[in-house]
Amino acid sequence: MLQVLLNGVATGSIYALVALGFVIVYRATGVLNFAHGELMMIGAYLALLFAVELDVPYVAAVVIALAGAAVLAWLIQRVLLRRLVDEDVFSIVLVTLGLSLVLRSVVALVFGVRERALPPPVDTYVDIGPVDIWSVHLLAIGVAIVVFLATGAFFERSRYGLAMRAMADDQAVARLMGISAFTVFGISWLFAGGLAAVTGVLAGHTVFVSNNLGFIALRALPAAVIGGLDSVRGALVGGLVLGVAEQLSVNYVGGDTRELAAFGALLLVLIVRPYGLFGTPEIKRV
Amino acid sequence: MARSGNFHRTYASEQALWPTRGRRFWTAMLVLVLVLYPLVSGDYFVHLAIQAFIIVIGAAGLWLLVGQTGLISLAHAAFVAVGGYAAGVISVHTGLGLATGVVVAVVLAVLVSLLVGLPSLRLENLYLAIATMAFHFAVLFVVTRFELTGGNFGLRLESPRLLGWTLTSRADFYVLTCVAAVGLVLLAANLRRSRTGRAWGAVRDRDLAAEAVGIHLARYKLYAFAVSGAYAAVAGALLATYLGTTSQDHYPFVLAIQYLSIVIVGGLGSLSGAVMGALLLSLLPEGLRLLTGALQGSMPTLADNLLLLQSGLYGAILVIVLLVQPEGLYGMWLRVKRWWMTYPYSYQ
Repeated sequence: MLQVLLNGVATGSIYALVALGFVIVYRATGVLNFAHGELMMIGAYLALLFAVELDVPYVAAVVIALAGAAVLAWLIQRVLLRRLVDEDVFSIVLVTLGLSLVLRSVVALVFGVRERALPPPVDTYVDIGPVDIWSVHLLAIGVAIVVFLATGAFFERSRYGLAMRAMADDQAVARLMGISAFTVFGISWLFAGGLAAVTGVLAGHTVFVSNNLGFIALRALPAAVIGGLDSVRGALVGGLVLGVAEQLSVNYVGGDTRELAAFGALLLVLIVRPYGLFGTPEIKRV
Repeated sequence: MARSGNFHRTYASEQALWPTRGRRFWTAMLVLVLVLYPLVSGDYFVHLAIQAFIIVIGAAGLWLLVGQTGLISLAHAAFVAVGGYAAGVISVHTGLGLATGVVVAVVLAVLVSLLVGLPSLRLENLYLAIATMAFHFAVLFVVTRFELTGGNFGLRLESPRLLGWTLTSRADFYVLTCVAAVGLVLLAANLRRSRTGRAWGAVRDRDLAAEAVGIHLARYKLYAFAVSGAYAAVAGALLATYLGTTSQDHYPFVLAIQYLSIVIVGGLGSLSGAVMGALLLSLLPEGLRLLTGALQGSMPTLADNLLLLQSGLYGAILVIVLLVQPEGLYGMWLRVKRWWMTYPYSYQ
């Protein structure tokens, strides 16, 4: 039981990191980035390319992947989404969806469709009291703790964090106060892109790297929505809850039920609390 | 000088389907083309036309939901799957004809659409997109878990019959899908100008104001989901019957995005745009196949990854149209028409 919970927390921290990527972009720009999973995939492939094929040290390869995905995310924002500021949500959702298809097929054409393994730097089981923990899971939990603490500190303490919170609160007023919307958009996409690469590498350690790696983001989407799309805390809680629930259902109900359970929970939360557990409700005027 | 401006003096003339002589003439020409097409073109082109008609049906249904009612749905492929599996199960397990299959498909799709429509009553835009996406995966998950639907392998359909008429050749299917597509598009056009259709338009333009003038939001949103689901189910049933097989590979999530890109490429503002988009984009896979076939020698990897290339191209078209020409083909047509009508002036 304890072992199952621990596995759940480890899977959940990957989901929480994915959800955080959704949340950061959504908070600052009001865009739900359906191509986040594909950014993860590109990060994983970059790490694979440098670490496995070019024999670059692991940490350096991850840093390169991080930088590459961050720059790509920034470019997407700069070239495509900046033109769609003030367009309706509908077009923006579809642009990111279309983009995810494009990225997936481009990556498949460049790297092939074969599944490949991205070996983790350390691959052992650590024995802690009654449970064994896989080093990759330990890494995922550690990264999640560091990233969430850093993100929290960034939003609370730094100037740009304050600017991003202001933009999330009310875009028009924030812009009137002299905050450059495009700077905030750029930073949040850069941040989300780098985060996607790290998450992609972690996910690549646990499953094989293929052009379907991005589906993990679709699986983590319920976590972001359950927690509330504009809440960092919600991403953490939603991710952990999803991970634990998934492991519990795999172990006690059967392997197939986990996706249905996640999406069922998603539909339920959307019906009862459409803005998520920690999200801010929106009030509509005529 | 060419006439310009709005010349309608009665509501009847404004709502007429064929208000002008030009419109009547072109409609007659279209009918002529549809009748002559299978007689003059080869088997392969008839096959293309059948696929195009089926996609036109699905696109018309999605247009009613997305274009006319303004609700976003990523679950359209799930409804196509419901139709396909309904027709498949009826054909394999009961031996009844296509007519029963289509009726069962439509009834099932309406029931399922009520399920997917319910969250839509509280959700807007983004959250609706997420909920319908979740629904797509849930439906396909459930469908493939039953013994009845052949699980992961799907079903092989028996030779199709429709009310005592055995569909054997491509020509038979051409007649069937052509009649179905024309009828359903006409139905959609009529729905659009009915009281219901105008209520949908009001919901799209401003839902709170629509509610304030007495439109029952819940009822009309559910109604839109039901009608669009029924269209998709008919398309699915016809497709499964034509291909003679149905499995989960026929209804990937990409299909939902393809349908959305069809409606958007055509232009959300008009049904004829959706039909144009469907005709154009249904030819895309074949065009791509010919192109990669021609490039086989120089770039062999392209031909191997045809499906990937195809979905990537759909994505690219979606992105480019939304960025460059959000009104789609219909918007382009309107611009050309205005230029022609008001020439040499740039406006009326």
